[in-house]
Amino acid sequence: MNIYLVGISISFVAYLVLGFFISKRVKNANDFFVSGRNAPVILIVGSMIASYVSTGMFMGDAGEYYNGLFSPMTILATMQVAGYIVGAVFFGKYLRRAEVVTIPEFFGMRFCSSKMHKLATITSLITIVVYLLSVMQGVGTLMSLVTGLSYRLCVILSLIVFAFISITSGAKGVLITDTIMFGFFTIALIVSTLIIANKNGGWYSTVERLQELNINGLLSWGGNTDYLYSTGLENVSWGIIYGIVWLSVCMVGPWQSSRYIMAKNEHTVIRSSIFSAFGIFLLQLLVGISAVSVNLYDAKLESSSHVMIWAAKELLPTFIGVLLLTGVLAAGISSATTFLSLVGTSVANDIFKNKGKPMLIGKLSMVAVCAIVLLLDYFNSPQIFWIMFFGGAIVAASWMPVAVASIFSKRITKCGAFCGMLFGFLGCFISKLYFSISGTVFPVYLEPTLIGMAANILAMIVGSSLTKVSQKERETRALLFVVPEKEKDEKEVVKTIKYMKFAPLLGLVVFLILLFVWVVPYVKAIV
Amino acid sequence: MVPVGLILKDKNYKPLNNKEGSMMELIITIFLSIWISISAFLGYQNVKKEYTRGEKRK
Repeated sequence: MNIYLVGISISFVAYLVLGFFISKRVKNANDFFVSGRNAPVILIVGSMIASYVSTGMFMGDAGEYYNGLFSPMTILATMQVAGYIVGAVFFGKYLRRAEVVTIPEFFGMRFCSSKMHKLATITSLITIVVYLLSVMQGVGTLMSLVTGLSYRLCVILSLIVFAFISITSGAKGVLITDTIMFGFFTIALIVSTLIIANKNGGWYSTVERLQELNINGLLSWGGNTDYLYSTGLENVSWGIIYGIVWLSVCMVGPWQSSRYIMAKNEHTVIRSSIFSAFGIFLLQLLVGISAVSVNLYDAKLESSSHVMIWAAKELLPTFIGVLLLTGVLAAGISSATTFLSLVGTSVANDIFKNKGKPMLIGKLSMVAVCAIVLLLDYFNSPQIFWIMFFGGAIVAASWMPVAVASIFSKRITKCGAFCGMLFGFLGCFISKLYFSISGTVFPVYLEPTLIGMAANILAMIVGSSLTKVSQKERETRALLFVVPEKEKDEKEVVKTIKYMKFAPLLGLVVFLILLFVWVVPYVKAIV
Repeated sequence: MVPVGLILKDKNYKPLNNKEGSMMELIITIFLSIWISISAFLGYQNVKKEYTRGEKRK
């Protein structure tokens, strides 16, 4: 029997059993939708990282590192993690303070507008469904490749697992299973990277041998100029632009910032952001090291997104290979459970609020979305990386400027916010559609997300200048800046400030890691 | 080593092969660490200001 199938089957059964037991602890709608709003730092960090890390990172991102975009991908990955800290402090904290159940509800409440609430719900649901599709395709592809089972069967089996966890145990189950899966895939990735790098006498020696290959700019600052763009500066610009786009996603993306709503208090939100930022930076770097190293063994893989699967099967001892692939699958499943749970929460609280039993509505909507995603998958071939990027692009373009302005602008009106979100969405969607249909490769500075963000800001300014901020909007905003009494506990405040005082040192840690993992070995290899 | 100025001036600059080196890798690393540090520092300032508001008046 296929050893990978055995490993994956065991993990699936374990997740189902776990989901079943956690479902017994779900007592009410509060537990089901926001995990009782009492999640500690470890669960918030675990879920934040597990929701971010999916097959998109292990397959899509890994493929780009393998293709020679090590430098642009490192720029992207490192810039985006700042979004966790900025997002928690400048958005998540206020989101938690507003005591809403969903982020669309926050927008509706902040601007005293049901239209704003509806628009945010629509954009949120589109993004989540798109992202769910990408993750499901990734899980299906991976499982099919390693087990030999048909792709469709793998999609259905994985869907049963993540749907069971989300439907039976809701947000509480998702937080716990996410954290367990986070621990699992982190250990698997660390062990695998160490083995792959040590196969050639250590990472420094691997870098030296990589430089002997005839691949243009594999580890250089400009990346491979025969792959994405033809110049190093364009490749670096791509990394910076997508770094900003994904920083926005990490700041306000529903699958990330919704974790803050479930946190025990504001201090949990702020402290967890530092660990999430560092954790994701490290995981991305480990994936990059593993993926780029595979070039030493086979520089012409048919599908670059399969690079980690190839490494697990060909370079690692069988047990570790099974561990890594099961870990990658766990990353996919954990993201899928988050997305599905968010859909249920959004439908029950944003669309059918006070119209029947919320938990039942949430569960039924999850079943309906599973059917929709299955149907969409049937008509769409797997394009993990680009579908995932599309989901992220929509969030960044339609939500980011409005989210920041909703907290820090006194002048933004509900009309301005509505126009900003709508035009941000349309600007990004239409330009992305145009470039896809016409088959043209957009210049790096005309990235659809940037077009969407520019449209968002412009529409927000015009809309706000034509209307006036109402007294109610002014009062709602002012309330966000009132620190609740329960958040003023002196011990907690001192602890949080201490954490944040040391947070800037993260920059130094990042510098030292990149210096000794990238710059020094690269310079030694070329001199 | 290729001068960084040359790379930045010529927008069509293309590394000749994977053996070429410059200070760009180090510059990118410094830029990224400053990026993270500034973000974290802004966060620290906001948190300190918000949670210690009113303390001084007491």
